[in-house]
This record gives sequence, C-alpha cells and structure tokens, in this order.
Amino acid sequence: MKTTHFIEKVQIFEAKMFRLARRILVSEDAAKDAVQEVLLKLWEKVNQNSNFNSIEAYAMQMTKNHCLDQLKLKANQNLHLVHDNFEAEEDESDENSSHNETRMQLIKNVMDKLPEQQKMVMQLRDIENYSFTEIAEILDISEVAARVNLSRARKSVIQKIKKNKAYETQTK
Amino acid sequence: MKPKQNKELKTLLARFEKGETNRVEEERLNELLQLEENKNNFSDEAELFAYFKTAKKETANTSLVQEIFDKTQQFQNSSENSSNAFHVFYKYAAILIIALGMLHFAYQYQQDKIQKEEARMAYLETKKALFIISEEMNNATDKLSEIEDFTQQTQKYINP
Repeated sequence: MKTTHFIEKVQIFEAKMFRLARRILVSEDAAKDAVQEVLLKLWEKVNQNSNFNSIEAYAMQMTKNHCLDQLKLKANQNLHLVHDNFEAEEDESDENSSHNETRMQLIKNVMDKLPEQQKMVMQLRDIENYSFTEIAEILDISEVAARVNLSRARKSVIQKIKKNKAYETQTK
Repeated sequence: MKPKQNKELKTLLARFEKGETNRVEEERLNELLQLEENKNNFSDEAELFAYFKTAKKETANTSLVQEIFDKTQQFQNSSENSSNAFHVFYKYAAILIIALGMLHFAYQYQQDKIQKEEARMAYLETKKALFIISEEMNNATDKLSEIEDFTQQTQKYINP
C-alpha cells in the first residue's frame, strides 16, 4: 500500500482512535503517543499484506490493547491528568457557558471513573456510534456483554449526574 | 409537551438506559431532549447527549498519521544529508591522505638518490686517492731496488 493511500484511509478514523486512547489514558500527550505507535504498527501490518475484515476495527482494537498495556505498565504515571479541550474559549462574563463547561467536565469525570470495559463500550457506542457487532469485534467480547456493559455504564452515569445535581441544589 | 411525546420519551429513555435502543431511536431521543419543554424535566439526560456531541468533536488538532510520515521524511532527509556530508568528508580526506603519501614517498626517493650519488662520489674519490698512493709506492720501489744494488756492491768491498 502506498503511503498516501494509507494516510487517506487512516485520516478517516484517526480521531476516533485518539478519543478512545484519550478516554483510557486521560492525558492528551499519552493518547497522541499511543495512537502514533499504533499507527506505525498498523503501517507495518499493512505492508506485511495482512488481511483485515475492517482496517478501522483492527486499528481500534490495536488502540484499545496498546492503551490497556500502557495502563498496566503504569508508563503514563507522570502525565498530566487535565482535559484541556473543555478549557478553551473561556469567557468569565458568560455564566451559562461556564456552567455548561462545568457540567460537561463533570460528565467527563463521571465517565472516566467507570470501569475500563464500561468506559470503552460507552465511548465506542455513544460517542463514536459503532454498532454492537463492531464493538464486540474491537473489544473482543460478545455482543451481549457489550450491551450489558453499556446498560450499566449509562445507568451509572445518569445516576451520578442526578446525584451531583441534587447535591448542588441542596448546597445553594 | 403532548402526552404521547412524553410517553415516547420515557419509553426511549428506559430503553436507552438498558442499552436496547438503536441509532435511529437514539437520534429521536436526542431530538426530544432538545425540545424546550423537556429541558427542565430531563436536563440530566439532555446534558449527557450534549456531552456526547461535544466529545465527538475532540481531535488531536493535527493529523497524527500525517505527522508520523512527515517526521519519517524529515529523518530520512536529515540522515541522507548527514551521510552525504560524511561521504564528501571521507572523499576529500582520502584524496589528502593519498597526496600526502605520494609526496612523502617522492621526497624519500629523492633523498635516497642523493645519498647513493654521494656514496658513489666518495667511492670514486677514495679509489682515485688509493691509485695515486699505489703509483707513488711503485715509484719508490724502483728507487729501493737501486739502493739494494748499491748495498750489495758496497758489501763486496767492505766484506770481501
């Protein structure tokens, strides 16, 4: 495969890889490094004429495995744990915008604290819009397990958001 | 909100929580949650969907795959440049070493030649000197034989 062809193909889904890596590793730098390492491995695999059903699903699976390995190795211990995407365009005069950002950050934090499997299923389904078949392939689990994990994750997140709001109302 | 829509929203939310909704249903749920009349009653769920929308926009700011190949290209270019510089350096170093070597051997050859010539000249001079000495000695030998004859003749008269 030619380099340009590979780049064109990967650019379609590399943002999804980055978001999944970011969800697992939290740090933006660690996520970028992880995605680049995965892309290099993918480039090697492609050049070895490996046959994939779907290069995107394979790349996502590699990203998931690589990031979980990174977590196990605790290689990213010393990285920043700040999600700076939601820090942009801060306007103190705009209370609504600031409130929304806080709420978004809260939901993000709640999602980040979910168990790994639930976190990844929710990321892949609700943010990346993958089908259950694709999620099962990427995470190497059954479709039923994917649904169960998603259900638990959604319930947990909604419950925590409600709890937080109730606490905020009480303290006001 | 119409009671029918309210019922639909609640049903969809219940199915959403159980992970039973498909994409079309989730789209419909999102639409219903965006309605002004639902924003108060279902604000948490609406926020969750808003978060999904925001999170979907998150990118690495640059194309990571393009970055890799750009870096690889830069690395290749720089290593090519440095290998070219080394190539040029070794080329000129080799030329210099060969030139210095040739000069050294030419100088050495010249020195040897001068030394040999001097030795040959010294040999010829010595030979010439020895020849003169030999000639002188031959002349002296003739005179000695005359003295010998004189001595013999005188002895006849001294000791008859």
